[in-house]
Amino acid sequence: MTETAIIRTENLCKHFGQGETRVRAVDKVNLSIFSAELVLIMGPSGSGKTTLLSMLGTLLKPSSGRIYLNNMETSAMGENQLPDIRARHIGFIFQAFNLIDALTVEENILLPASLTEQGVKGAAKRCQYLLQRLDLTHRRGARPTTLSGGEKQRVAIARALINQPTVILADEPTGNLDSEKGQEVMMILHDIVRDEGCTVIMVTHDNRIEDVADRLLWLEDGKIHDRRSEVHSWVHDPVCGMRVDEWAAKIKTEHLGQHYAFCSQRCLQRFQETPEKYIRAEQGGE
Amino acid sequence: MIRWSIKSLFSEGPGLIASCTGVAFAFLLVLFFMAIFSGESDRITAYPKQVDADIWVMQKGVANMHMAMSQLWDWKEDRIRAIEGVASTESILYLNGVMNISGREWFSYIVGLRGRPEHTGPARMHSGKPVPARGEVVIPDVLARLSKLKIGDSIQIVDRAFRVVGLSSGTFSMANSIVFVSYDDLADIMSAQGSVSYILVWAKKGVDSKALVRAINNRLDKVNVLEQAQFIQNDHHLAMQMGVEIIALMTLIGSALALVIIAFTSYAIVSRKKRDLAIARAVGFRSRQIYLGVLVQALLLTIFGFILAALLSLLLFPLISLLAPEIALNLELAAILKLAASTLLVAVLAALWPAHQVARVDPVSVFHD
Amino acid sequence: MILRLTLKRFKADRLRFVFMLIAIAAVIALVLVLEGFRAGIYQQIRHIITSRGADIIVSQAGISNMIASRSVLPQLSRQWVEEIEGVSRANPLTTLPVIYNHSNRRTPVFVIVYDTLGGPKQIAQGRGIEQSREIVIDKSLAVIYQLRVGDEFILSDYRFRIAGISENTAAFFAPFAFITYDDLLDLYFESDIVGDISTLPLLSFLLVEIRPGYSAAAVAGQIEKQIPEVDAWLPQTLAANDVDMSREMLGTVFQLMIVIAYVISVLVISMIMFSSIQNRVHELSVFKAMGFNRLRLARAVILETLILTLLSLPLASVFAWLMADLIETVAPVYLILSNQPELLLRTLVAALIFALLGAILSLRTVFRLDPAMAFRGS
Repeated sequence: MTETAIIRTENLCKHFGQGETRVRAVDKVNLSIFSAELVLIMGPSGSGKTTLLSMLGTLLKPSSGRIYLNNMETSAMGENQLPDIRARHIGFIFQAFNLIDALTVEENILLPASLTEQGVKGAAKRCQYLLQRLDLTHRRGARPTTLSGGEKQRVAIARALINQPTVILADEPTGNLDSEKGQEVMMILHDIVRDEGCTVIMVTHDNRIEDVADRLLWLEDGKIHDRRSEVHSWVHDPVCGMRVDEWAAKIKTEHLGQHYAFCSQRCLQRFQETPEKYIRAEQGGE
Repeated sequence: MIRWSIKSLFSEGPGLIASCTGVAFAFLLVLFFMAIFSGESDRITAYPKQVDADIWVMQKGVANMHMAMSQLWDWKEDRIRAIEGVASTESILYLNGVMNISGREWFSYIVGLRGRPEHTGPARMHSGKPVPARGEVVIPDVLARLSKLKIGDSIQIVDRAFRVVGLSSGTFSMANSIVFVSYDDLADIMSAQGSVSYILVWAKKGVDSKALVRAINNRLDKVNVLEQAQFIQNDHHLAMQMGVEIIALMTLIGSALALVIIAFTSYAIVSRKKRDLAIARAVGFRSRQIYLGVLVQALLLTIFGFILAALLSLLLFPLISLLAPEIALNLELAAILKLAASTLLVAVLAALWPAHQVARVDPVSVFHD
Repeated sequence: MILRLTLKRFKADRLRFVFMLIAIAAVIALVLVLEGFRAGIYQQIRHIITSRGADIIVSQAGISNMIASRSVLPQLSRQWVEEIEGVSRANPLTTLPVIYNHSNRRTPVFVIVYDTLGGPKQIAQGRGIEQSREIVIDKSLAVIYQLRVGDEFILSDYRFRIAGISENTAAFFAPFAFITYDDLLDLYFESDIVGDISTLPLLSFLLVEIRPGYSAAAVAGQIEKQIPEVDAWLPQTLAANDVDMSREMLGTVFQLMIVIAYVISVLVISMIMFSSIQNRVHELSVFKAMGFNRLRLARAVILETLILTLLSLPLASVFAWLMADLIETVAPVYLILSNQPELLLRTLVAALIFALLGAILSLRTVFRLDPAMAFRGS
């Protein structure tokens, strides 16, 4: 039986600027993401990951192409239809948490529930469940300004889950957290996928979750590749010594039957000028 | 820091426009008040100015025209005419009264004209005849327009009907329109046959008015004799003094309102730019440099608001007087300058609260999100 | 939820909330003061006429005002009126406009000359007139010229002594003073400067008291019917005529000032709400990201504006009362009725309209907010 994609894109493009200054943040991306998948989107800084996430979350209109969410073409919808889609089908988790300081933890979690038919009262039970699940019961009456980073992100996760969305979009959810808290959040998101059957699409630089993610997408120069962690091939740039993924590297050369990958054009240029210097240094290091 | 304060002020966009306009209207209210009193003062003295006599003779104890009651025996005019140096005299009977025009009542100065006056009748006519006979009246053209009257229509003064025979120009005012009737009619109404209210004197060429004033005082008793300039100034002064307290209070209230608006705007900017200020402090700017920045913002807001108010008043006041002739607005430069001086004080006071806010910005907060 | 959020936001940033309240209250107070100023002028006119104690006021035929008019009644009119059935007593009253000149400052004063009725009712200091050469002056005269009970008060060249200082005896921007007929006659006969007595109005009005069981309107009708030289008025009607005339004179001016105050109110509320929204642009983009649509956000903005405006009304009332008190203390010739229920209600409605208009600028910002901003730091 063919499974239907929860989110699907067709030739999705997003450009900024015009003429010579035009930047293709997302360039003809075709994507299919299925139910209960934990999908990571990774790539260099400024590669368009947040732009892609914004389009999937209907926060940004594509320049061209289509986006489907639960078979609804969200890219063709007007501004008056999209808030409803976001309220019912999408949950957001932000790097900066974006909690409302004037509200308590419980009120922050219940805020999106006010947009649905069940309302705040109808969501009370689910809120209790999420508070317990995310170990926030003892902090339900606290204000966000009194919470730690980890607690804030857990509140944000609970808020994203209150309406039982189809998909959660998380932008660098561990970016403002220390190693331990970050780890904790990652595992929560992993468990959500497993237990709630929710799809989680996460933009991250954090390698730790690669092993538990179902899919790894690499976005660079506007193009997206599906990648598995076992395809990583870490080598060192012979000039500067930086770790480079040979599989993904664009700057490579061959010298005396050996393949070398570089972090930048500059390092390649230096190598090409005096290769024996760097090969000797590498051999010396071995 | 000054550049920051100016740039952050202008980055407010629509908010800045709303603030400046609010300040402008607060000042405009003050200017309006001043202009009203000044305008009415001018109108109160319009008739004596247009008569343009050299000397005014009135009952002893009276020194002006507005709301005054003056009574002289008319034979005193003959005595004055006989004084050497007097070229001519005219006399009027005068009453503050109420006219009923088309069911509406208008407060007015009713002037009773004697004989064929050259100076004491209306200076300019819109239409009709300038000197009314018995049973006739000349009214201001603006009053006729507001009351939808024309020549030949009838109005009521006290218990008598008068037929409109002329429409005069420059004689209308909110508080004291001037209407002209015959002396005989007004004397009947006032039961004042044989007396006049004011005797106007024109000196011969080359004759000093002051000397003539002395001569009249020597010849007549129970009179007050004033040169025209002094007489007009007395009325002008009276009208302005009636408004001096309320003008001062409205200036205070308007300025206080402007102060609140400016203080709030400055406070809002400082509130929003706390991070910028923290960076400034972390980088090494001293508090007084930052205070100066806040003061510059308050000053600019005040100045913009004031300039806008001045421009609006110059544009709107003549337009208002045109559309609503019952309102006389006269904006004097002195009034604008006086308000300008108070705006500086407003700016300084308005900057105090935001300056206090600035003092509380902790430079360590640059390290927070 | 939106209401709760709005109230919580106010509580969370109390200082800002208080500042916003003060600013809105200040502009609404200005509206109240100007409206109160207008109402006060009309009330002063009404009061000065209706508080004379008469059931009917008789004037010269054709005269339908009391304060601004010169009315001259024949000397025998008192006798004629007292012969009308239903009339208990006709009390003479004369009104004389004079210019009081002291310390190089001139002030127009309406002098009321009374006999058995029509004297000052509210004496703030001292007492009423009991002896000759005594005068009761309005409080505003006492303040302008720093006069006290017992001080000299010179009218023309006749010296009076201040017996009392009255309240609520000013109208048409001029204070009133009270003397008796005996003193008026003495003034005329003794004064060196007053004109001939035959030309002066010795009798302007008659304050008529009617017998019990008679209708004032009916008696007034009889007076007019039987004495063609006079008109007879109910005090309320005469007062209304004077009020109407002052409305003609001052109505447009006050209307303009009040319109200016309205414009200031809308601008200030716009400015405050705009600033408030600017402060929360990031938070609002998060709301949009969560699924709050334009209508909900607009409702939130409008609700916040309305709540702020409503909460500022009591403070506005206090500010208006303080301003009115200041004006009446410095210039007691004015009466500012800024706290009348009808005026407060009217201002409440106006304030809510200001709030709605003031929210428009902010709504534009909210509608144009980019929800993708939620992904950026605040």
